[in-house]
Amino acid sequence: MGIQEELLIKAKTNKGVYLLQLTGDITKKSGKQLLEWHNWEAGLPEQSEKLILDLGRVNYINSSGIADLIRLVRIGKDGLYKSGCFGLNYHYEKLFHMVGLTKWLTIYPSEWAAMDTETEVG
Amino acid sequence: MNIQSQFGEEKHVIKQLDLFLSQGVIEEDEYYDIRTAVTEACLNAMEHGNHLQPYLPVRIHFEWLKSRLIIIVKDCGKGFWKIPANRADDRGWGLPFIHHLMDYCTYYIDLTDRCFCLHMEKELKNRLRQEGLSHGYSRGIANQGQNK
Repeated sequence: MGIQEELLIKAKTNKGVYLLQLTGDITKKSGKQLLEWHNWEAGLPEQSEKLILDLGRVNYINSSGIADLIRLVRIGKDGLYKSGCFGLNYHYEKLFHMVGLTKWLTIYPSEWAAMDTETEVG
Repeated sequence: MNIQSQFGEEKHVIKQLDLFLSQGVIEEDEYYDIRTAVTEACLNAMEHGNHLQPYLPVRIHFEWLKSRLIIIVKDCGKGFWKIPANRADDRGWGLPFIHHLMDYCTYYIDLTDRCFCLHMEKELKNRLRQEGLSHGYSRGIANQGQNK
């Protein structure tokens, strides 16, 4: 991935889960791209109830990108949708905890766990 | 090294940092801590110090002091007198990250160069270990560079 390339977003819906596969970097510019990907305030597409971010192909997230993730998750927290992610490395998990993002964003250990809508913990 | 004051330039610093850190043995968590602190310092310097004026440089200096890594990021701004509080738009996490991830951090005006300096230090656990005796992260960084 070159220095100028930012974020590639692929979406799919499966059993009430709206999965966004993110590839690249989450920065000020690409964070805006993520916020403008969909009208999040209208809820998720196809009446999905859960937003899952696949972060396994994200190499770099800066503080502006984290701010945009907070915004994205905060839009859903008042009943519009639940949010989760998987593929996050330990370092970013530490930063997410630090900024309080994990209050509203569940970190799953795998795609399988994230896509499971039958068993919800907490 | 010098970079221009525009977003994305901080990724050039990551490449230079990888090269610099590949000289020693470093744990993976230390590497990510340093990478985040350096990029956030550069972003602050570009945005708040140089107001994203591309012709104004941000200067980055790396140095080892035995097992201590010293990084100085310089911009052309006036600096700040107190650490700004997090803003309502959820931004402003750069400095808290730097303070949390590095062992020591201070700011000063360099009167010789007439610039604002952010000085950070981190003590590395395995820096003085002989390479080859540790399962450190140095080779991983070197290989990453080759693969790109």
